[in-house]
Amino acid sequence: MNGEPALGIIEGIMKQKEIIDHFVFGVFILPALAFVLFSTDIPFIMNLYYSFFDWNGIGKSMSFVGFGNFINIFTNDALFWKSAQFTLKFALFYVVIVNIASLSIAIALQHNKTSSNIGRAFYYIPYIISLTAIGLIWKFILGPGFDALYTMTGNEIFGLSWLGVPDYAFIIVIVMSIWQTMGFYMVNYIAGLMTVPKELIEAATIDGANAPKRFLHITMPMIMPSVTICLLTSITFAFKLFDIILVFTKGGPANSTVSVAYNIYKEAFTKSNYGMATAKSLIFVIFVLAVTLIQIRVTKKQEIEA
Amino acid sequence: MKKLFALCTVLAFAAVGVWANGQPEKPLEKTSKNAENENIVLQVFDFHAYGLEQYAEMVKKFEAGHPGVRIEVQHAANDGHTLLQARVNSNDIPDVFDVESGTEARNYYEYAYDWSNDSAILAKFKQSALDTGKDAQGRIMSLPWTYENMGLIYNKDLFAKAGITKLPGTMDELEQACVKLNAQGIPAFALASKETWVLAQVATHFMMDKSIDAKGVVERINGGQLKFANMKNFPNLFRFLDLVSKYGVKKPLEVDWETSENLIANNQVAIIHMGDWCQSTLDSFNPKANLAFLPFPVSNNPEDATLLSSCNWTYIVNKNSKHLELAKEYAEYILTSDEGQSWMAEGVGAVPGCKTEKNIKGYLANDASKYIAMGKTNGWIHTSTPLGYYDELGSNLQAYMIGQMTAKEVTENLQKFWDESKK
Repeated sequence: MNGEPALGIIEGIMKQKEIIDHFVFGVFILPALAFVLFSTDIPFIMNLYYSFFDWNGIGKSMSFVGFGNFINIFTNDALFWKSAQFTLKFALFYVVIVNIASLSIAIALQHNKTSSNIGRAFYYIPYIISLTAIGLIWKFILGPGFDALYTMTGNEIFGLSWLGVPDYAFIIVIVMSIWQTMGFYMVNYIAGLMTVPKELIEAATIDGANAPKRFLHITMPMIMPSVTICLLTSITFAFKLFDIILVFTKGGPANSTVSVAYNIYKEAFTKSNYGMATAKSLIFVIFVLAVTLIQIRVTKKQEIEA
Repeated sequence: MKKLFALCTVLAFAAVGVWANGQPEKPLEKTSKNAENENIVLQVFDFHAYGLEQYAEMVKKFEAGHPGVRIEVQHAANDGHTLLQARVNSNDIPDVFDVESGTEARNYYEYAYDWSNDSAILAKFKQSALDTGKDAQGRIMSLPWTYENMGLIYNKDLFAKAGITKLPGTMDELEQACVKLNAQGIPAFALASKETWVLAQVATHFMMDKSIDAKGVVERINGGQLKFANMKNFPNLFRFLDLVSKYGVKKPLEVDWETSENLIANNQVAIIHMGDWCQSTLDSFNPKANLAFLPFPVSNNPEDATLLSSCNWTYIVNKNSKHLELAKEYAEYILTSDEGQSWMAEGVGAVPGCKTEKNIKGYLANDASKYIAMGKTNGWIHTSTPLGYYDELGSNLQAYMIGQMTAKEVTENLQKFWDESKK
């Protein structure tokens, strides 16, 4: 009999503590929440609203068109679907290559030596250069740079019009984006590799596992969290590919490098079809959402606790 | 929780990506609004990034003449359209701003002050310049900046070197000139074919019908009386592009506007297509370049070769401005006053839309006025097209140049685009 009221008090205190905990937790996430709310979620809802209107993005009057914009996109917008095709193709090549390449580099540079520090800086620098500068660098490489190499070596590779032929321009966009962003994924993978316990590797070595086996059965499962993050960021990067296109290819030649985001931007700000543009972005968001959820579900299953 | 986090992340990445791509940086000079409550701040938005020194001078004089007034100018040459659109959407409409005349300006006219009854101010402008600021009902909703002329630009020294004494006036003569230039090892063209807008502007020369001018052409295309397939000179556009590929620089689709201006100013190529707005860039590459306009040969009749000339930029005064009278005064000041005229004629080097006695600094603009006097100019078509015209036609012309599309397909596509997009 004596114990019960005391238990009740303790429970009460616990509950109070829980409320306070929740409150503190809430205060901490509030600023972030406000940012996301005002810069993402509210615009997203507005986006939803505008997608049902025909609006030029400037005037005060809008006319309600129901699903007209969506119907138009599905029946009469070849360029949007061409850009979707391009974006998917880009995503496939980019995600696979950039992850394999940056993981390989991370393995090569994971130890804390002077040489690997220099190597890390070397791969990370493109990631922090402004895109305008990158545009200029590549313009120089593909222009005067390749011209000079062509006259020196006579090698046909340098004589090709790399930005003038759709297939080549695609390769350039891939190479440029990988070159620019590889450092970011490399850092993530290095961080992951550092958490792999040395003892496990040593134990496996003693048990007779060779290097490929150690990598496949110990390192890979241990760095799965890094893989999840890198895949997620690289997929979203690929799908929202925009700035490189805007600065460098401008969608050309002949619309062959128009990405979905670039197409949406053009629709909104060049053609002044705000309604259409928001409808397109909505379709796009739903698609990206689906792909990323599947990706997270798949990779999360591979993760293990150390 | 993990799922929720993942969902939020995905939403953040995807939606920010899509939505925020067009979001511009914050306006540059937005400080101390509260501190100067008693003072008047006039918000000005200006697309132009040249003649800035003269512009600053001009602002200083205006401020000196109006104590307590501060002019806040946002010069936005890069991505200005997006920036202005965002400001209008967020109800931060500048008191005075400029846009491209024609189709684009009309989108903004519902915010514009109607000048039709200010005859004293209107009298300061040339009539043809004022016409570029009219809305569909013929009201004057915006005031003109400067005349801009475009056509082929050629390098006089290289033409002399190749022994071309008579300027080509027909397509055949143009081809002969190309042959002569190539014989001297000079690439004939560096057409900025990477830029869809350059290709689409080139195309308008071949749509032009001298007898009805730009306005007539656009009206008839809109009305359906004139089809691209039936235009007399339009097939020659493709002949011209063939010449560009055959006699021009080796990788035509990699030439952007800057490269094309650089090459001609430094005597590397003989002909480009551009307007006199590129004067200051040309001067920065080589102030001694010996260049001049070449009226665009579009047929085998030399009479058809013209420059296209128009007041491309037009200034709008926000009719809901808190300081409407001051905004009007400022617009009038920058466009017609002595300081304004020096800005346009000397700073920018172009012919002002207002009546003026000033000498024009740029040699291209002076050269163009020769052709204006001879009646060898027409108006601009590309500012009256449906929006999106540059990208639509320009990318198709690129496809033609790399053999992905035929001339017929490009022509049909253009017709389809125009019919669907006209308002």
